[in-house]
Amino acid sequence: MFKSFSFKKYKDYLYIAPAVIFITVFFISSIVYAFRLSFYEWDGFSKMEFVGLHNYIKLFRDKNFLTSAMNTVIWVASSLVLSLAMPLLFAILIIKSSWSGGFKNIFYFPSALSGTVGGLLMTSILSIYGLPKIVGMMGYPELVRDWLSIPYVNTFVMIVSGIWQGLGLNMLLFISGLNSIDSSPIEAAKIEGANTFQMYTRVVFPLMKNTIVVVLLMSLVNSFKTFDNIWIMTKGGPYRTSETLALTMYQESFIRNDFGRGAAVAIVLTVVVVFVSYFNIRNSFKEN
Amino acid sequence: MNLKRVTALLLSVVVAAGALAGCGNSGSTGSDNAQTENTENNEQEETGGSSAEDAGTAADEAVSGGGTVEFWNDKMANIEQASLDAVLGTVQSVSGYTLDMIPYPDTASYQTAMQQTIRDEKAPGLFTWWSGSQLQTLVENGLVEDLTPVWENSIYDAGVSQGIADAFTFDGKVYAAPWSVLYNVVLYNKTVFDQYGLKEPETFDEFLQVCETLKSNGVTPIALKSDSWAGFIWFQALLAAKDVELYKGICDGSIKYTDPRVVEVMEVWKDMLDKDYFSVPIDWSDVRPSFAKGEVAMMLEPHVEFTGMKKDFDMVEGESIDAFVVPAMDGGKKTIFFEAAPLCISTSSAQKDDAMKVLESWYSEDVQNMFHEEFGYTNTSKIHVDTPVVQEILDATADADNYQLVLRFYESTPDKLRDFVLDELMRFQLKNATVEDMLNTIQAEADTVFGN
Repeated sequence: MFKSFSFKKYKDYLYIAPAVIFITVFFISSIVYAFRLSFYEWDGFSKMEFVGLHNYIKLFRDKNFLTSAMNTVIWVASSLVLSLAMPLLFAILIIKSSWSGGFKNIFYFPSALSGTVGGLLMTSILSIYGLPKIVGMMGYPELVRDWLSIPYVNTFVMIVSGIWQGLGLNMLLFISGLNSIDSSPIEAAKIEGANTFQMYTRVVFPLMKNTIVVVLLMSLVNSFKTFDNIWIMTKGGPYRTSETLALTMYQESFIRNDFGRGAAVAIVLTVVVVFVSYFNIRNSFKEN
Repeated sequence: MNLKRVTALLLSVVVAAGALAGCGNSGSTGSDNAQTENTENNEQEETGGSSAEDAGTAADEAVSGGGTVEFWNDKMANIEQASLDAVLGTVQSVSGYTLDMIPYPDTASYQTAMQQTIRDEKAPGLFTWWSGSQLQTLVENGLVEDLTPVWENSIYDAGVSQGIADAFTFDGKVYAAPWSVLYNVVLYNKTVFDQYGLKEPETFDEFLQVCETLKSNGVTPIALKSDSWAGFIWFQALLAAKDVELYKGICDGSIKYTDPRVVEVMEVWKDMLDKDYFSVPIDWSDVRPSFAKGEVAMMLEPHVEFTGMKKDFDMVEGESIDAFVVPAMDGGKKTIFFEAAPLCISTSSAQKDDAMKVLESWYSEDVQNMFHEEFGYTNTSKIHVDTPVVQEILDATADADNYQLVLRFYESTPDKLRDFVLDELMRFQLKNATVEDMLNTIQAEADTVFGN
């Protein structure tokens, strides 16, 4: 048996072994534990009690969970549209600017801040002594209120804040993608008489497909797991109207000490993210 | 090529060994975590406090009976080191024990550390917790010591009231001592009151009149906080102003939320909201400057907020800031709500005997005077208070003829129902629910929780 052992045969596995071991120990085992926990009722101190599917059944009957799921969909949809369209537009506008370096720095600066610091900054700006006060002085006194305390409106305020922070990184990725495109198909299209719109939609964007897919996937996963901004700005309130699934998972587990229910939310979130990511990646790279 | 292979193999082994070592450590107690938290906290605040190494040494000494008791909490992370040193120094000089303070900056991480550690002998001797159902969970699982003897030996004598002990009592045994006792009173901007010739209201009608006068002069009478948990503050105040037994019945489930008297109280509250006697719910960081500037005249807050307003906004007790208790609607006894953070001793801790001795001297005048001086706490009736306004509040808490002390709603009702009620109350405060809609919704949930 030892004679037939070939180092060459297993070399590739050894290269990926550290990553596989790390992920198995710290991620897969956590998922398995969370999955098991989701069938129990546990407050962290008392004996764990097996409740079967009770946590899942209660979850889907809970209006807070449904609101949270809807908010997550809003975050994901908004992020996909705005986090893709705006940075792409900005990249196209900036790339040929004579001051592109300056613009890159300005737009990238918010990305250099942590989500927590960004959230704190936006909370200060949106406090009643910040932007609302200025708007009030301009003749709109009815707008002098804590915008982050207005149910449902605050979700959109936070999405804008999130885009402000995420725009720079996506824009740099698009600029990098635009710079790496082979110029000959573009020159050929020009000779053929393509206008600007046709040039981008039929030549440039298809050539940037891989970059677009990477940005799309990053935005998708990031929007599913959005937490820090919301936690800092509203803590999911008022009355849990701005929670997303990631926040609900934290609230149920660590604030309300209902670890079984929190684990059930985590499992639902994981299944959705894996499902969406899998089909997205498979379809996006099918042709390649 | 060979070199590359060998390097790759070595790296694989190193990473795998690291991962396994990490797993091996996962079985250690939260004491290690706590030391890390402590170090990070100290570095973060640049207070120059004890290092992780010191904390580790202290913990080892404590386990072997070296006169050090660990004290874990999530309430001291933002306290200045000078204040901490003053308090810890006094505890040490009175008890003879060194108190090793391990403050957690975040409640969730603190609770997780306690969950991992509380059954181990390295559990902290002393730790703070939350009263109500959260303390009850620890008691039911046999995780905290019965402190009844300590109460009988020293705490009652120090002037801590029976009402506080009741908040920590289960099956006739007291399982905690008060870390802090906060009395909720209406703080008011005295400058604004003086400007409009207003006096502290003695009856509920006078209170409404004060609100009306302030409103008509362009001042928002009462501040509402936007924190989701804060919805109960005026709910409990108005219920108890109507009838304290009504409030208690709501908390223990013996009276329904749909009771006509509750509906009546909620209609009073709705009327006050409709008349704009309350601000729209705003962030706490905006409430304080609004109050200091006189844009909002009143807020129902713990009395220690005097200290905060004095430090941060130069408000002076008795001159620019004062306090009163919400009057009863029928002119009877006024209700002062209190919140009491429990100080517990872990049953499994190797330090529990030392912790008991520390606790016996915790309520001495010297220690409690220092707590009052540094943090504004007024846990016992024997402390020296040099602020007449605070002394008046303390006198009121001891005046059983005119005032009654009641544990606040947050700790008095089952937490499964509490969180639901808080959300509904906030929905009502934001005018997104009618009285009937809100009370019916809450009662449906209460029926489930109380098993009606």
